[in-house]
Amino acid sequence: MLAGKPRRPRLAHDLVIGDGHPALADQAIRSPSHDRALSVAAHSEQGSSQAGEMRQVDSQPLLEAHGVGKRYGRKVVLQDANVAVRGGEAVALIGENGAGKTTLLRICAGLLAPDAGQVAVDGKVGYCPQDPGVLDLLTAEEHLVYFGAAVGLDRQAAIAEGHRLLADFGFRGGRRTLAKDLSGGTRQKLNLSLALLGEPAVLLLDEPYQGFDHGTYVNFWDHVDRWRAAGKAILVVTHMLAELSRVDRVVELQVRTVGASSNDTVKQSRG
Amino acid sequence: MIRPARVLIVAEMQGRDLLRRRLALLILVALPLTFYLANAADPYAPVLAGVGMSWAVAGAALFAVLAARSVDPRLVQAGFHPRELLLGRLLLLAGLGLILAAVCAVVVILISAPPRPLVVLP
Repeated sequence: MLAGKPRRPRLAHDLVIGDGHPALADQAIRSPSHDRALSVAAHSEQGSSQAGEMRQVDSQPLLEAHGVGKRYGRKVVLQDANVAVRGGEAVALIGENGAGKTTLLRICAGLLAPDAGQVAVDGKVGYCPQDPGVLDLLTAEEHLVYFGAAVGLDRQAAIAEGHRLLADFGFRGGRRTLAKDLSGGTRQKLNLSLALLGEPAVLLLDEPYQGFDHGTYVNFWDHVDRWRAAGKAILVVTHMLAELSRVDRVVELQVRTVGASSNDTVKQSRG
Repeated sequence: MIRPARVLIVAEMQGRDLLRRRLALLILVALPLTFYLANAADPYAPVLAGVGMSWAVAGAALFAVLAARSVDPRLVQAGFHPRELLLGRLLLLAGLGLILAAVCAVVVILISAPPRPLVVLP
Protein backbone atom coordinates (compact mmCIF):
# COMPACT_ATOMS: atom_id res chain seq x y z
CA MET A 1 0.00 0.00 0.00
CA LEU A 2 2.70 2.43 0.92
CA ALA A 3 4.90 1.17 -1.80
CA GLY A 4 2.62 2.82 -4.30
CA LYS A 5 3.16 6.25 -2.83
CA PRO A 6 6.62 7.43 -3.74
CA ARG A 7 6.03 10.87 -2.26
CA ARG A 8 5.82 9.46 1.23
CA PRO A 9 8.90 9.90 3.40
CA ARG A 10 11.65 7.46 2.75
CA LEU A 11 11.50 5.88 6.17
CA ALA A 12 8.49 5.10 8.21
CA HIS A 13 7.88 3.29 11.42
CA ASP A 14 4.95 1.31 12.50
CA LEU A 15 3.95 0.15 15.86
CA VAL A 16 3.38 -3.52 16.25
CA ILE A 17 1.46 -4.61 19.24
CA GLY A 18 1.82 -8.03 20.62
CA ASP A 19 -0.19 -9.70 23.25
CA GLY A 20 1.16 -11.88 25.99
CA HIS A 21 -1.98 -13.60 27.09
CA PRO A 22 -5.00 -15.01 25.33
CA ALA A 23 -7.26 -13.38 27.86
CA LEU A 24 -5.79 -10.04 26.99
CA ALA A 25 -6.13 -10.53 23.29
CA ASP A 26 -8.74 -7.86 22.88
CA GLN A 27 -6.73 -5.40 24.89
CA ALA A 28 -4.07 -4.91 22.31
CA ILE A 29 -4.82 -1.74 20.42
CA ARG A 30 -4.27 -2.31 16.77
CA SER A 31 -3.08 0.39 14.53
CA PRO A 32 -5.68 1.65 12.06
CA SER A 33 -3.05 1.00 9.45
CA HIS A 34 -2.83 -2.59 10.46
CA ASP A 35 -3.04 -3.72 6.89
CA ARG A 36 -0.03 -1.70 5.94
CA ALA A 37 2.72 -3.01 8.04
CA LEU A 38 1.64 -4.45 11.27
CA SER A 39 2.43 -7.87 12.44
CA VAL A 40 1.61 -9.31 15.76
CA ALA A 41 4.43 -9.57 18.18
CA ALA A 42 5.00 -13.01 19.49
CA HIS A 43 3.63 -14.13 22.76
CA SER A 44 5.62 -15.01 25.75
CA GLU A 45 4.11 -18.11 27.18
CA GLN A 46 6.01 -17.82 30.40
CA GLY A 47 4.96 -14.24 30.81
CA SER A 48 1.45 -15.13 29.85
CA SER A 49 0.98 -17.65 32.57
CA GLN A 50 2.66 -15.40 35.09
CA ALA A 51 0.46 -12.50 34.11
CA GLY A 52 -2.64 -14.63 34.21
CA GLU A 53 -1.94 -15.91 37.68
CA MET A 54 -0.95 -12.77 39.42
CA ARG A 55 -3.70 -10.25 39.18
CA GLN A 56 -6.59 -8.82 37.35
CA VAL A 57 -5.90 -6.09 34.87
CA ASP A 58 -8.05 -2.98 35.01
CA SER A 59 -10.46 -2.59 32.16
CA GLN A 60 -9.66 1.02 31.33
CA PRO A 61 -6.21 2.02 30.14
CA LEU A 62 -4.32 4.43 32.34
CA LEU A 63 -2.17 5.31 29.37
CA GLU A 64 -3.43 5.39 25.83
CA ALA A 65 -1.60 6.75 22.82
CA HIS A 66 -3.48 6.70 19.58
CA GLY A 67 -2.26 7.45 16.08
CA VAL A 68 0.89 9.14 17.32
CA GLY A 69 3.15 10.59 14.67
CA LYS A 70 6.37 12.49 15.01
CA ARG A 71 8.96 13.72 12.58
CA TYR A 72 12.16 15.68 12.94
CA GLY A 73 12.49 17.73 9.80
CA ARG A 74 12.01 15.30 6.95
CA LYS A 75 12.77 12.27 9.01
CA VAL A 76 9.70 10.42 10.18
CA VAL A 77 10.37 9.00 13.62
CA LEU A 78 6.92 7.71 14.47
CA GLN A 79 3.95 7.10 12.29
CA ASP A 80 0.52 6.09 13.45
CA ALA A 81 1.78 4.52 16.66
CA ASN A 82 -0.70 3.11 19.13
CA VAL A 83 -0.22 1.74 22.58
CA ALA A 84 -2.38 1.31 25.64
CA VAL A 85 -1.41 0.19 29.10
CA ARG A 86 -3.92 -0.66 31.78
CA GLY A 87 -3.51 -0.54 35.51
CA GLY A 88 -1.83 -3.68 36.76
CA GLU A 89 -0.19 -4.30 33.43
CA ALA A 90 3.44 -4.21 32.37
CA VAL A 91 4.21 -3.68 28.71
CA ALA A 92 7.65 -3.90 27.15
CA LEU A 93 8.49 -1.56 24.31
CA ILE A 94 11.16 -3.00 22.09
CA GLY A 95 12.69 -2.14 18.75
CA GLU A 96 16.00 -1.51 17.14
CA ASN A 97 17.99 1.67 17.63
CA GLY A 98 16.28 4.65 16.09
CA ALA A 99 12.88 3.00 15.99
CA GLY A 100 11.37 5.79 18.07
CA LYS A 101 11.00 4.12 21.46
CA THR A 102 12.36 7.03 23.44
CA THR A 103 10.41 9.50 21.31
CA LEU A 104 7.19 7.62 22.00
CA LEU A 105 7.93 7.53 25.71
CA ARG A 106 8.72 11.24 25.77
CA ILE A 107 5.48 11.96 23.98
CA CYS A 108 3.58 9.81 26.47
CA ALA A 109 5.30 11.66 29.32
CA GLY A 110 4.27 15.01 27.86
CA LEU A 111 7.85 16.08 27.24
CA LEU A 112 7.41 16.15 23.50
CA ALA A 113 4.44 17.24 21.45
CA PRO A 114 3.34 14.76 18.78
CA ASP A 115 2.75 15.96 15.25
CA ALA A 116 -0.28 13.72 15.04
CA GLY A 117 -2.37 11.61 17.34
CA GLN A 118 -3.39 11.85 20.94
CA VAL A 119 -2.16 10.65 24.28
CA ALA A 120 -4.47 10.24 27.24
CA VAL A 121 -3.17 9.58 30.72
CA ASP A 122 -5.22 8.87 33.81
CA GLY A 123 -3.18 9.64 36.89
CA LYS A 124 0.26 10.83 37.78
CA VAL A 125 3.11 9.85 35.46
CA GLY A 126 6.55 8.83 36.65
CA TYR A 127 9.11 9.09 33.90
CA CYS A 128 12.60 7.64 34.10
CA PRO A 129 14.71 8.86 31.18
CA GLN A 130 17.47 6.83 29.60
CA ASP A 131 20.16 9.30 30.58
CA PRO A 132 20.01 10.18 34.26
CA GLY A 133 18.27 13.55 34.33
CA VAL A 134 19.95 14.76 37.47
CA LEU A 135 21.87 17.85 38.48
CA ASP A 136 25.57 17.12 38.83
CA LEU A 137 26.14 19.45 41.75
CA LEU A 138 23.28 18.35 43.97
CA THR A 139 23.35 15.44 46.38
CA ALA A 140 20.90 12.55 46.24
CA GLU A 141 18.98 13.94 49.20
CA GLU A 142 18.70 17.36 47.57
CA HIS A 143 17.35 15.67 44.46
CA LEU A 144 14.74 13.94 46.58
CA VAL A 145 13.64 17.27 48.06
CA TYR A 146 13.61 18.94 44.64
CA PHE A 147 11.67 16.25 42.82
CA GLY A 148 9.55 15.59 45.89
CA ALA A 149 8.39 19.21 45.80
CA ALA A 150 7.38 18.67 42.19
CA VAL A 151 5.03 15.85 43.15
CA GLY A 152 3.68 17.69 46.20
CA LEU A 153 5.74 16.12 48.97
CA ASP A 154 7.16 18.27 51.72
CA ARG A 155 10.85 18.03 52.59
CA GLN A 156 10.57 15.35 55.27
CA ALA A 157 8.15 13.19 53.34
CA ALA A 158 10.25 13.39 50.19
CA ILE A 159 13.40 12.40 52.04
CA ALA A 160 11.67 9.55 53.85
CA GLU A 161 10.03 8.13 50.75
CA GLY A 162 13.14 8.74 48.66
CA HIS A 163 15.44 6.96 51.08
CA ARG A 164 13.07 4.01 51.16
CA LEU A 165 13.11 3.83 47.35
CA LEU A 166 16.88 4.22 47.19
CA ALA A 167 17.32 1.49 49.78
CA ASP A 168 15.07 -0.77 47.72
CA PHE A 169 17.53 -0.50 44.86
CA GLY A 170 20.60 -0.87 47.06
CA PHE A 171 21.74 2.74 46.65
CA ARG A 172 25.22 3.14 48.16
CA GLY A 173 25.86 6.82 47.58
CA GLY A 174 26.73 8.91 50.62
CA ARG A 175 24.48 11.64 51.95
CA ARG A 176 26.90 14.36 50.92
CA THR A 177 28.08 12.80 47.68
CA LEU A 178 27.31 14.92 44.67
CA ALA A 179 25.53 13.28 41.75
CA LYS A 180 28.56 13.84 39.53
CA ASP A 181 30.66 11.71 41.86
CA LEU A 182 28.26 8.77 41.82
CA SER A 183 28.96 5.77 39.62
CA GLY A 184 26.82 5.31 36.53
CA GLY A 185 24.71 2.57 38.08
CA THR A 186 24.24 4.50 41.32
CA ARG A 187 23.14 7.59 39.39
CA GLN A 188 20.67 5.40 37.57
CA LYS A 189 19.28 4.14 40.86
CA LEU A 190 18.75 7.75 41.89
CA ASN A 191 17.21 8.47 38.50
CA LEU A 192 14.75 5.62 38.86
CA SER A 193 13.90 6.53 42.44
CA LEU A 194 13.08 10.09 41.40
CA ALA A 195 10.62 8.74 38.85
CA LEU A 196 8.90 6.72 41.56
CA LEU A 197 8.45 9.55 44.06
CA GLY A 198 4.85 10.35 44.83
CA GLU A 199 3.46 6.95 43.85
CA PRO A 200 2.72 7.61 40.19
CA ALA A 201 -0.03 5.53 38.62
CA VAL A 202 1.75 5.30 35.28
CA LEU A 203 5.43 4.42 34.98
CA LEU A 204 7.35 5.19 31.81
CA LEU A 205 10.77 3.60 32.09
CA ASP A 206 13.34 4.08 29.37
CA GLU A 207 15.93 1.34 29.86
CA PRO A 208 16.00 2.14 33.56
CA TYR A 209 18.45 -0.59 34.50
CA GLN A 210 21.46 0.73 32.57
CA GLY A 211 24.58 0.36 34.65
CA PHE A 212 22.87 -1.82 37.24
CA ASP A 213 24.85 -4.72 38.59
CA HIS A 214 23.32 -8.15 38.13
CA GLY A 215 21.67 -8.29 41.53
CA THR A 216 20.04 -4.91 41.15
CA TYR A 217 18.97 -5.79 37.62
CA VAL A 218 17.16 -8.90 38.83
CA ASN A 219 15.78 -6.89 41.70
CA PHE A 220 14.44 -4.33 39.22
CA TRP A 221 12.25 -6.90 37.51
CA ASP A 222 11.00 -8.07 40.89
CA HIS A 223 9.99 -4.48 41.50
CA VAL A 224 8.19 -4.43 38.18
CA ASP A 225 6.13 -7.37 39.45
CA ARG A 226 5.36 -5.49 42.65
CA TRP A 227 4.39 -2.27 40.89
CA ARG A 228 2.18 -4.26 38.59
CA ALA A 229 0.56 -6.02 41.52
CA ALA A 230 -0.03 -2.58 43.06
CA GLY A 231 -2.09 -1.63 40.01
CA LYS A 232 0.39 0.61 38.24
CA ALA A 233 0.53 0.79 34.48
CA ILE A 234 4.11 0.18 33.37
CA LEU A 235 5.61 0.83 29.97
CA VAL A 236 9.27 -0.15 29.90
CA VAL A 237 11.71 0.20 27.05
CA THR A 238 14.05 -2.74 27.03
CA HIS A 239 16.59 -4.48 24.87
CA MET A 240 16.81 -7.40 27.25
CA LEU A 241 14.75 -9.90 25.33
CA ALA A 242 15.40 -12.56 27.95
CA GLU A 243 13.25 -10.59 30.37
CA LEU A 244 10.23 -10.26 28.12
CA SER A 245 8.73 -13.15 30.04
CA ARG A 246 8.35 -10.75 32.95
CA VAL A 247 5.86 -8.51 31.17
CA ASP A 248 2.29 -8.98 30.02
CA ARG A 249 2.68 -7.78 26.51
CA VAL A 250 5.41 -6.85 24.11
CA VAL A 251 5.12 -3.91 21.77
CA GLU A 252 7.62 -3.67 18.98
CA LEU A 253 8.39 -0.54 17.07
CA GLN A 254 9.61 -1.39 13.63
CA VAL A 255 11.63 0.53 11.13
CA ARG A 256 10.45 0.03 7.62
CA THR A 257 11.64 1.35 4.32
CA VAL A 258 8.70 2.69 2.40
CA GLY A 259 8.73 1.33 -1.07
CA ALA A 260 9.97 -2.08 -0.12
CA SER A 261 7.56 -4.92 0.27
CA SER A 262 6.39 -5.49 3.78
CA ASN A 263 7.97 -8.93 3.81
CA ASP A 264 11.36 -7.32 3.56
CA THR A 265 10.83 -5.05 6.45
CA VAL A 266 8.37 -6.36 8.92
CA LYS A 267 10.07 -8.45 11.51
CA GLN A 268 8.61 -11.07 13.67
CA SER A 269 9.20 -10.19 17.23
CA ARG A 270 10.05 -12.75 19.82
CA GLY A 271 8.74 -13.48 23.21
CA MET B 1 -0.91 27.16 40.09
CA ILE B 2 2.25 28.77 41.41
CA ARG B 3 3.10 27.79 44.97
CA PRO B 4 5.55 30.01 46.87
CA ALA B 5 6.99 27.06 48.80
CA ARG B 6 7.96 25.35 45.58
CA VAL B 7 9.44 28.57 44.20
CA LEU B 8 11.62 28.72 47.30
CA ILE B 9 12.71 25.11 46.80
CA VAL B 10 13.76 25.96 43.24
CA ALA B 11 15.71 28.99 44.48
CA GLU B 12 17.34 26.90 47.21
CA MET B 13 18.45 24.13 44.89
CA GLN B 14 19.61 26.57 42.27
CA GLY B 15 21.57 28.37 44.95
CA ARG B 16 23.17 25.17 46.18
CA ASP B 17 24.13 24.28 42.63
CA LEU B 18 25.59 27.72 41.98
CA LEU B 19 27.50 27.98 45.25
CA ARG B 20 29.28 24.72 44.45
CA ARG B 21 30.74 26.34 41.36
CA ARG B 22 33.26 28.14 43.47
CA LEU B 23 35.91 28.64 40.82
CA ALA B 24 33.40 29.96 38.32
CA LEU B 25 31.94 32.36 40.88
CA LEU B 26 35.42 33.51 41.87
CA ILE B 27 36.30 34.29 38.27
CA LEU B 28 32.97 36.01 37.71
CA VAL B 29 33.71 38.39 40.60
CA ALA B 30 37.47 38.67 40.30
CA LEU B 31 37.59 39.53 36.61
CA PRO B 32 35.47 42.72 36.71
CA LEU B 33 36.97 43.65 40.06
CA THR B 34 40.46 43.44 38.57
CA PHE B 35 39.35 45.47 35.60
CA TYR B 36 37.88 48.11 37.89
CA LEU B 37 40.95 48.26 40.13
CA ALA B 38 43.22 48.61 37.11
CA ASN B 39 41.22 51.68 36.07
CA ALA B 40 40.40 53.03 39.52
CA ALA B 41 41.90 56.40 38.75
CA ASP B 42 39.64 56.87 35.78
CA PRO B 43 36.66 59.14 36.53
CA TYR B 44 34.41 56.58 34.86
CA ALA B 45 35.72 53.71 36.99
CA PRO B 46 32.49 53.50 39.08
CA VAL B 47 30.58 52.97 35.85
CA LEU B 48 32.98 50.21 34.90
CA ALA B 49 32.34 48.63 38.29
CA GLY B 50 28.60 48.69 37.65
CA VAL B 51 28.99 47.12 34.23
CA GLY B 52 31.32 44.51 35.67
CA MET B 53 28.83 43.67 38.38
CA SER B 54 26.09 43.20 35.79
CA TRP B 55 28.39 40.96 33.81
CA ALA B 56 29.03 38.83 36.88
CA VAL B 57 25.30 38.34 37.53
CA ALA B 58 24.69 37.57 33.86
CA GLY B 59 27.47 34.99 33.99
CA ALA B 60 25.92 33.40 37.07
CA ALA B 61 22.58 33.30 35.27
CA LEU B 62 24.23 31.56 32.35
CA PHE B 63 25.67 28.88 34.62
CA ALA B 64 22.32 28.45 36.35
CA VAL B 65 20.38 28.03 33.12
CA LEU B 66 22.90 25.79 31.40
CA ALA B 67 23.07 23.45 34.39
CA ALA B 68 19.31 23.16 34.64
CA ARG B 69 18.54 22.97 30.95
CA SER B 70 18.50 19.18 30.77
CA VAL B 71 16.63 18.74 34.04
CA ASP B 72 13.96 21.43 33.73
CA PRO B 73 11.73 19.47 31.34
CA ARG B 74 11.77 16.55 33.72
CA LEU B 75 10.94 18.77 36.66
CA VAL B 76 7.99 20.20 34.76
CA GLN B 77 6.91 16.69 33.82
CA ALA B 78 7.14 15.73 37.48
CA GLY B 79 4.81 18.53 38.50
CA PHE B 80 6.52 21.91 38.61
CA HIS B 81 4.88 24.77 36.78
CA PRO B 82 7.41 26.32 34.37
CA ARG B 83 6.81 29.68 36.00
CA GLU B 84 7.80 28.24 39.36
CA LEU B 85 11.16 27.28 37.92
CA LEU B 86 11.52 30.70 36.30
CA LEU B 87 10.53 32.59 39.44
CA GLY B 88 12.75 30.47 41.66
CA ARG B 89 15.72 31.10 39.43
CA LEU B 90 14.98 34.82 39.18
CA LEU B 91 14.60 35.00 42.95
CA LEU B 92 18.02 33.50 43.45
CA LEU B 93 19.69 35.62 40.79
CA ALA B 94 18.02 38.79 42.04
CA GLY B 95 19.29 38.01 45.53
CA LEU B 96 22.75 37.36 44.20
CA GLY B 97 22.58 40.58 42.20
CA LEU B 98 21.62 42.59 45.29
CA ILE B 99 24.52 41.15 47.27
CA LEU B 100 26.96 41.87 44.48
CA ALA B 101 25.55 45.37 44.07
CA ALA B 102 26.04 46.05 47.76
CA VAL B 103 29.62 44.77 47.68
CA CYS B 104 30.29 46.74 44.52
CA ALA B 105 28.90 49.92 46.06
CA VAL B 106 31.10 49.58 49.13
CA VAL B 107 34.20 48.96 47.03
CA VAL B 108 33.47 51.92 44.77
CA ILE B 109 32.79 54.26 47.69
CA LEU B 110 35.98 53.19 49.43
CA ILE B 111 38.26 53.28 46.41
CA SER B 112 36.87 55.80 43.96
CA ALA B 113 35.23 57.97 46.62
CA PRO B 114 32.68 59.53 44.29
CA PRO B 115 31.59 62.99 45.51
CA ARG B 116 27.90 62.06 45.44
CA PRO B 117 27.68 58.30 45.88
CA LEU B 118 23.92 58.26 46.39
CA VAL B 119 23.18 60.24 43.24
CA VAL B 120 21.74 57.19 41.52
CA LEU B 121 19.13 56.70 44.19
CA PRO B 122 15.70 58.17 43.43
